[in-house]
Amino acid sequence: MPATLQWQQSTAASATWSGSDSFIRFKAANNNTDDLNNPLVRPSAGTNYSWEKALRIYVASGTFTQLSSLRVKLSTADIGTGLGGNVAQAYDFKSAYTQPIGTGPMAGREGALGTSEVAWNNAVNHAIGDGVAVQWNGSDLLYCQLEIGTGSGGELTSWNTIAVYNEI
Amino acid sequence: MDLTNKQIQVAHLNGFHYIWQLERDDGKIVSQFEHDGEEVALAERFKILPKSPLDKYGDSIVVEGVRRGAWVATVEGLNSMSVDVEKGENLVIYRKSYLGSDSMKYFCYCLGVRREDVETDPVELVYYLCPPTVVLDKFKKPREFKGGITRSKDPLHRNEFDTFSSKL
Repeated sequence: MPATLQWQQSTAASATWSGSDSFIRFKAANNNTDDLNNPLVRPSAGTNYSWEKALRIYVASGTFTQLSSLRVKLSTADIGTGLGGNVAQAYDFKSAYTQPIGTGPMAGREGALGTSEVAWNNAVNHAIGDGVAVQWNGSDLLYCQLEIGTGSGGELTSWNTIAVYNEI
Repeated sequence: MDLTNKQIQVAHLNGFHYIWQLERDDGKIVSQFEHDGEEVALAERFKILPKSPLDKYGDSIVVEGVRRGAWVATVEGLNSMSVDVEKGENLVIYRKSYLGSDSMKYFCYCLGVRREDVETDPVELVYYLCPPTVVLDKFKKPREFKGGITRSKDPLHRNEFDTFSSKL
């Protein structure tokens, strides 16, 4: 059967991974619960940041010969409407686990807001929305964070972070 | 290169749309499932072509010693597809898999040949078979993907599902 892969998250000081079979919600709290508590709000100045999400792809089961070329992308370049480019999902890859942080941007990885409807960026403001995937060393962990800038109005919609890989 | 009912039954149970079937250079046909339904690991029967990290087709999986390769449909209504591998060519065959953070799963099937007339400038001509499916868009509404087949030698080619899913 095909390899059964699973997104997993960890919030603990030491990595404690659990499967994610529902939506990953960025929030102002360090937990994996998909609820309406601890919402992110627009700041009157500057930028607000969600707690980071520490994610990995876990091979749960399956009979397969080879998995290769892990990549990751977002399902859309526009994660909302009328947001004026002031919301983005930033990302980083880390070779070792560190507990997610909840204050400020991921070190050195703040994306530029307000320049365009960037849905997915990193330190070099590398926009990879609209179906374009970036390489992901499978031994690395993926850290994501939502950044939200000033402004008013607009609607943030749901979107999908998609792992892409080849298998035979 | 027909399949037995037993093989098809097992493939169905394992959630496959297509299963691979390869004809070796010596004429022997190897299928993803034995007649008793046991799954075969492709790399145990065939040699996977090693590639340079700089190979522009680094994402693909290439199999040596094959003169014909096929993805055989196990679902009524889907067409099977095969390619003949000429002298100086190797078979390209793999599943491109998608795993969304909302647990969306999708398989696209790649099939083609790789030529190395110029060692430093290989060319891969690949078909992408994208079966129909239904996925949720960013508003969590079901959206129908009608499927499609494209052919490309561009290593960064976006198949029909990539294009569809980028507009969700």
